[in-house]
Amino acid sequence: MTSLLQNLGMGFQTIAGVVPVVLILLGVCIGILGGAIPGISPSMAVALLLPITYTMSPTMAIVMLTGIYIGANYGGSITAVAINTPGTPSAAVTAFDGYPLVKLGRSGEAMGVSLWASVTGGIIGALILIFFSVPLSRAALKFWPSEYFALCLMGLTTVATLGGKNWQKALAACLFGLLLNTMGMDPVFSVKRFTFGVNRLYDGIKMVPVLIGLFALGEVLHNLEHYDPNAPGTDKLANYKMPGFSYYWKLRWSMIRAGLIGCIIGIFPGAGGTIASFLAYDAEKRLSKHPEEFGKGAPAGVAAAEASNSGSVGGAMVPMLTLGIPGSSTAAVLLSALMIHNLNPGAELFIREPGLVYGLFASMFVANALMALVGFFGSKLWVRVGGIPKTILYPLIFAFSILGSYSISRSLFDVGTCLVFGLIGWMFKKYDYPASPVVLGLVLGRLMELNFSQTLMVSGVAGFYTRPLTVTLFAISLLCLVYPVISARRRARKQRRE
Amino acid sequence: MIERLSAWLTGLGYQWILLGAVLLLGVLLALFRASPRIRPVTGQLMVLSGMCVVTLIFYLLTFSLRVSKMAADSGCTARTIPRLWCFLMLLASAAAFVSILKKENRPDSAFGRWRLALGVAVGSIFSVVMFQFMGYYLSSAVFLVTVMWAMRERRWTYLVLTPVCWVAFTYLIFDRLLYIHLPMGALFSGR
Repeated sequence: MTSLLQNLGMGFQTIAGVVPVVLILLGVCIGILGGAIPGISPSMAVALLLPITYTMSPTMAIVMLTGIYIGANYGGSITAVAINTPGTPSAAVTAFDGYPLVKLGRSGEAMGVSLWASVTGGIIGALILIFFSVPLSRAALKFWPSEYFALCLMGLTTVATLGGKNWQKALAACLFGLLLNTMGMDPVFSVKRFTFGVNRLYDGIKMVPVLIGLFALGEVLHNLEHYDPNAPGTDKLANYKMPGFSYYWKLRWSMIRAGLIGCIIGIFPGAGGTIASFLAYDAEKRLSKHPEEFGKGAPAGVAAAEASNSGSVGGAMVPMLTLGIPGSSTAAVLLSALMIHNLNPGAELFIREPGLVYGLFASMFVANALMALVGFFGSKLWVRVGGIPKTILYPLIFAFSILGSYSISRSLFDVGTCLVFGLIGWMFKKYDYPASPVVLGLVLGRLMELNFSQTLMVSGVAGFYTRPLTVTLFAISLLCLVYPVISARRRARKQRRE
Repeated sequence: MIERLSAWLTGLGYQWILLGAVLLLGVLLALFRASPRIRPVTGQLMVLSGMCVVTLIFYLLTFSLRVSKMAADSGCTARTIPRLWCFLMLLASAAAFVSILKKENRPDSAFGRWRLALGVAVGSIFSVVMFQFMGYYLSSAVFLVTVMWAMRERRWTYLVLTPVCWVAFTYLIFDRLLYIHLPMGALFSGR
């Protein structure tokens, strides 16, 4: 413990100076900007800036890129909250309650909770990375495919809470998402599936155009349908003011829980921040005394989504640094950055390059502190978009969505996908079908299929019921799925009796 | 029989499959509208039917998916998971169908200014098609002005400044900073 703290002190010494702090600040600012622009994912933002780090020292390069990673994960939430356009897939969950809060005129709360939950989650992730990286990464590697499958199934049970009263519709929407996910190359046998002769579908449906379409375009089309040119303008957003410390203090347990969930899920390679956000949001809704407020503007929902999303950054770094296995696509880019600088991740890295490793750990605290500053002053600017006249805002969201979906792979096909899902999102919203289960299905589908197939190939059907951990996870999933249905029926019966 | 149908479906272009799906949905719409009991929830049932039609197409197509001997021996092929989701979708749809018919959900809300919304969606498709001819910048500027005009914006400062600022923003951020070159179109690239 003492040596750990000594090393951490050395890490802070490494990054103490104007140049490292400026580089971290630059990274955070670029990350926030990249994350806020739909179509620029955290991994893309890190990859785009990777070439400019070639001439830097390895430590400076890694701390700057980590700053981008941290900033981008938060940046995605800004547009999710302000205009219901998630900048990153993981920010989709933030939009569930962030945007309704803005619509209720509580934009300061939405932005504030999103920012401070991100910072809290990021710090929790960094602490876990520092203190538990080695044992946690070993434990995660002991997970078998059947356990991964059961973990994904647990993620799917969030449908039961996402759907609320419309759980049947939510379940159908989720399965629709899972089915759409089977398009493209089969992940195990490389068989072309449901591509309809379209080469662009070989990689399946891309996530970001779907997200932008379902959430941003769906919302705008719905608003256009109910657009009244003579309606008076709103000044709800003009009164933007972030709440005081006591407001966030009330949400401390939500942030801590979600940060921990995010970090733990982030450790599992391939799981990532999006799954973490869904799981943390679901857990928070289940634990809440007012679950009915979720989806309508619950600050705890924003806190859970953002804290888990940021917590997953530290989690994704655990296997990357200790085993050389990236926990997320952005961690994979960071891994390649390490290799470009002739550094091999693993236990040896901690011995050979302690300055770099502990400098990186220290930089995560600095990056989160700088993010708090940049977010505090910057979000006031962002949230003003809500005050823009609708005649400008709606066309701009449309243009932003088209641009965002185009810029991912410079493909008009992605723009088409975005528009199709925009129409689907509009119909879903109009007829009370929740869109988030479709995203959940798309997020979990591939991982589920891969692990389902691997389990069957390795140990047959027995693989699903012979390992105690798998069975436990299945039992929890079943409980999570059945409990809300039973409790809703009980409530209805009680109401009828009364 | 079903394999033959699947092979025939696989051989069809996506346009024909899409047309078939639209026709099938049209028939279902007519059936739903004909029943006074179902009419108030037609929209909800049509969304569900749309998902079910996609499921049906996917299910039929699974019969044409290639199965290697190794996959068959392992008990899991490329067909397994899509079929599992199709089967579960059948159950979920049945549950949703019953729930909608039992009027556990609200009746469909009436359409508002749907022509404006649909017009903007179609306009955006047209704008995307025009990328190849007019280029991104001009096409998006025209799109912005058109939508603003359709939304009854008449202040000329807004109508001019919004597309100009948008074009400047996209050029500076995407083209100059991120090196994401947006289409210039045949009009400006001389092709």
